[in-house]
Amino acid sequence: MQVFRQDKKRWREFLIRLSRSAELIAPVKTDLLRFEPITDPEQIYLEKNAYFPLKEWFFRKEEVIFQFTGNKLTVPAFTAPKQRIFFGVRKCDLNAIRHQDMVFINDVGDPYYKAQREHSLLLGYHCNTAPSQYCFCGSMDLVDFFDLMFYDKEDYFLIEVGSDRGEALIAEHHDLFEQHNRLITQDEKHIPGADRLKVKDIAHLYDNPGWKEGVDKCLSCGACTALCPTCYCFEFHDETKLADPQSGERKRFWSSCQLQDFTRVAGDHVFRKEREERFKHRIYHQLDYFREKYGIQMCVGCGRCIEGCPTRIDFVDIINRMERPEKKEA
Amino acid sequence: MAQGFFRRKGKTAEEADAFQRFIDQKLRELSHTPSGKKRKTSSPARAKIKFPAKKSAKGKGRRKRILLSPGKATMAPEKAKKAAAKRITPVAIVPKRPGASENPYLPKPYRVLDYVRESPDTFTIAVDMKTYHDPGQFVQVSLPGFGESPISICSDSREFIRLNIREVGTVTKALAKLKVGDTVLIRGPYGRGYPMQALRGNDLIIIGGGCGVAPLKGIIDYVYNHRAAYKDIYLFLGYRSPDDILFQKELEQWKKDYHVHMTVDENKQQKFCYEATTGFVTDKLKAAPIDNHGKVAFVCGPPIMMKFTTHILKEKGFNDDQIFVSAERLMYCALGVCCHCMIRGKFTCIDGPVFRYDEIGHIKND
Repeated sequence: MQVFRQDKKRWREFLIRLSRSAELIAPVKTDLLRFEPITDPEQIYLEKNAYFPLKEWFFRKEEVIFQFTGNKLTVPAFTAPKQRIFFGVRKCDLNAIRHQDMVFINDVGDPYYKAQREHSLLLGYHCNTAPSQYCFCGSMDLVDFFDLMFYDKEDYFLIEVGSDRGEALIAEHHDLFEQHNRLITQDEKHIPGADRLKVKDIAHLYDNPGWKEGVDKCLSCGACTALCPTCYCFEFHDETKLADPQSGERKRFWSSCQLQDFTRVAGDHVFRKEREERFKHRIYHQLDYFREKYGIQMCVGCGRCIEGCPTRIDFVDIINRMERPEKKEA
Repeated sequence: MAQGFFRRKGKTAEEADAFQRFIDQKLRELSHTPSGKKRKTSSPARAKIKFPAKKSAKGKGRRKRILLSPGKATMAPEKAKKAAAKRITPVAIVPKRPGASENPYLPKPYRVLDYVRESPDTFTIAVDMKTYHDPGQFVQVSLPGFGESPISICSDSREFIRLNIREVGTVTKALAKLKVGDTVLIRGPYGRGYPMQALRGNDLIIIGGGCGVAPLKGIIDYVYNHRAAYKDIYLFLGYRSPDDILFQKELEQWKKDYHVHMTVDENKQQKFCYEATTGFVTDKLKAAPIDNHGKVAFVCGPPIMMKFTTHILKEKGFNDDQIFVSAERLMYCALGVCCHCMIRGKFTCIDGPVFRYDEIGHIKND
């Protein structure tokens, strides 16, 4: 793909211009590092990966599916947001959005997700080194999925074009970019220090007693699923108005497979009652079940579920430990 | 004698189905062809007359009338108009799955045609939902303000669906207060039902426990409509008490046509219970002289009953692929997205709820 070069001074101007014509969203350090709308490029914080993933901008925590009055349903109008440009999205988050697109757009045609996703441009920021000790994106099969990708070269950026819309954006601001003659090499795309997960396929480990070790610390709090950029399970709840119980809204909320109520059916039977079963279910969905259905592993190796875990349960470590005896032989 | 009657009945039902499908396909084709094409096919002489817009609308009506049965002809021009309106405004969201509406989470209103109280905590409603479905498939029934609940279809008709519901949760308790003529919101049908076509020529053994009989009643009704395609039908139905016996109206007919074995767990007051014996349905199955030759078994009921039943069936020589079980899970979307119903990577809502035993038999806990 085409490559452009941009000085950091011009990059600043580029972002200011973007924020005038569209809503610019980038990682900002508030209490924790998260994606927020910005007006000034000075606010952008690029040293670490955002603590909260990008997914909440598309697959929202709370979405009104429809409003009802009696049996009459009205779907809230999909307000076409003005173009949103996301800057500073890491490779893991970009791939996570690709995986969520597969589920929500290609599989079920979810109009709520699509409305959020439609008018958005993804400008990536490449990690020169693994930004966290928990990263393991090198172990996952990530692909190039972006509109533009920014490679940080100290005093300038190299920008790789990933889509027609990215190319159009550069054409629109062509005075701020210079053509670059070299392509981005595979070495540059590699993120060093991020291949901690040594096991590709975990199907044979299902009955391994190793799953019990370490998992007994789990608090079943659901932080891992809330911070995961790919987790997409949800639930519906009806909310009625106090003044008029006949009318209200059906809302969609994020859910978490780590909570006991996740599989509770009428009659109070819970299918995955033990924490370790639920933990194992999450890991298997990430690494195994998703691949059965969509052909790729769901996990993108951002390590947020480990960093955000109050007891720091490191599933990468757990899986590696299970394979250790075999590794010694090899 | 009865066989002949059923065969004839079965055939006509099939023919009617085929005809209905043909009509619907034609309707779909008509509403999808771009307007330009249609005008071309109408005779060129007509296009010359002064009011082309009016003429073309008439032409549409005519073309349709040829293809449709006379009863539906009056509906056709309206539909054509709707389709034309759609063509002008581009549709933003294209449904990805067959049968999915534009917004897959949006239920549609249907009317309650019939309400039957089956037992103290169970009732059956009939809803005027005209849809193709396999026995064992389910629909999502919503009551705004209460929520949504997956309910399996317990009938086999193209004109309506029957839903047998047990009052256990918020939604089902609210559904119990419905009356004939009320509106209920439904989306579906969803899931993979029993592969009845593939099982033709077999003896069917239907084993149900409690409200697990409801999805199995879909098979019984299907067999009634396609009697010639299947051989002997054995019903093993277990209930808690004589009060809990479901489908008491239909039971008399079933007893005439099929081998019915019924049990109740206890009958302290010695109530009338349609000759059901006291005990577990699994014991009755164990005692029955059944081998696996040319037979298929369908099991649905509480988890513990399914576990023992499959065990007994395997003792009797049944292979895993001769047993069909029906799974029950918490569900929200019924589209394979929300992940609540996942069993080891399989979605109960799209890969199930009916599973062949070799697909999930090895799973113990999930």
